[in-house]
Amino acid sequence: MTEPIDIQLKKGVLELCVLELLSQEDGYAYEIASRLADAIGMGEGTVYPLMRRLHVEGLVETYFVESSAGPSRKYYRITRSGRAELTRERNAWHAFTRAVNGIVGGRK
Amino acid sequence: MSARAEFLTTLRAGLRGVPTDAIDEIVADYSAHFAEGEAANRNDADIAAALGDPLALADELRMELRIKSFEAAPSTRTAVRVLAGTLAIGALNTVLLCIAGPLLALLSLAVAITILVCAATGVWFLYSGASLDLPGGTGVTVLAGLGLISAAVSLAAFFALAARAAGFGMARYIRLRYRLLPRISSSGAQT
Repeated sequence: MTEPIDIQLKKGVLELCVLELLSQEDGYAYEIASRLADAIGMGEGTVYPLMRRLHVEGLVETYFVESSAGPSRKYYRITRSGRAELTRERNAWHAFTRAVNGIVGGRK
Repeated sequence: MSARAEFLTTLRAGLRGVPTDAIDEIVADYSAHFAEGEAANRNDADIAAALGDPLALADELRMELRIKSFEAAPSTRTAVRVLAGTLAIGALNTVLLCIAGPLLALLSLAVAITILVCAATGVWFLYSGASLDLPGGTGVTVLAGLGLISAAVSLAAFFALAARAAGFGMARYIRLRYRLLPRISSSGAQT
């Protein structure tokens, strides 16, 4: 059950990335999935279970918007508790990367 | 069957046992994903490949629902469902489970027997305390009986609390673990 360390790292920060994107503007899953797939090389399907969980936990809410491309789009909007969670995770991320960088150091 | 239909059918089949409205919602999400991809000029086979293994996705979605229902109503039934789902996605080390499982079952059995023996002896003392002719007389025997019964009750209560706490701890652990499990890589590999 071992897997490359970079995949584990990506999964760990997926939630942070999604909340960060949604804090900038509301988005729909396809857009979020493709942005993350391009930026950090995640499988696109991964984002859907995550969006469901964020929704159930009340970190995001959904609304529908008519789309020119076909059926109406489900948009996700970050909630107040979603923003609080984002702040927590962002702080944890900065503290973590700072600590790891202190140990790993730059390449000489 | 087209790649899209195959993906959605497999996903739906993998979600069997999940409430129908939740299945419909999930399938609608992925169906919308295909529609968006098509609008962006991608073909269904590419989209399906990028999404990953529908069965692995179904396992994960189902697992989350099970953990949620356990947290909402902790009971032996929901706990067992979480455990069964865990095995399906391999979030728990099978070897660990093979050792810890029987040990845990033995421990539960031992505690259950202790509780039963305590309670039965207590009731017996109360019921026929006078005729037993134990040292200390009837009064002491009756007190001992009451003591044993309350010991059984508090042991049972303590064990129930401990089991509940263990269940919640396990749910947290599993969630942490499966989030880090191989989900979807672009090759769809699942170890």
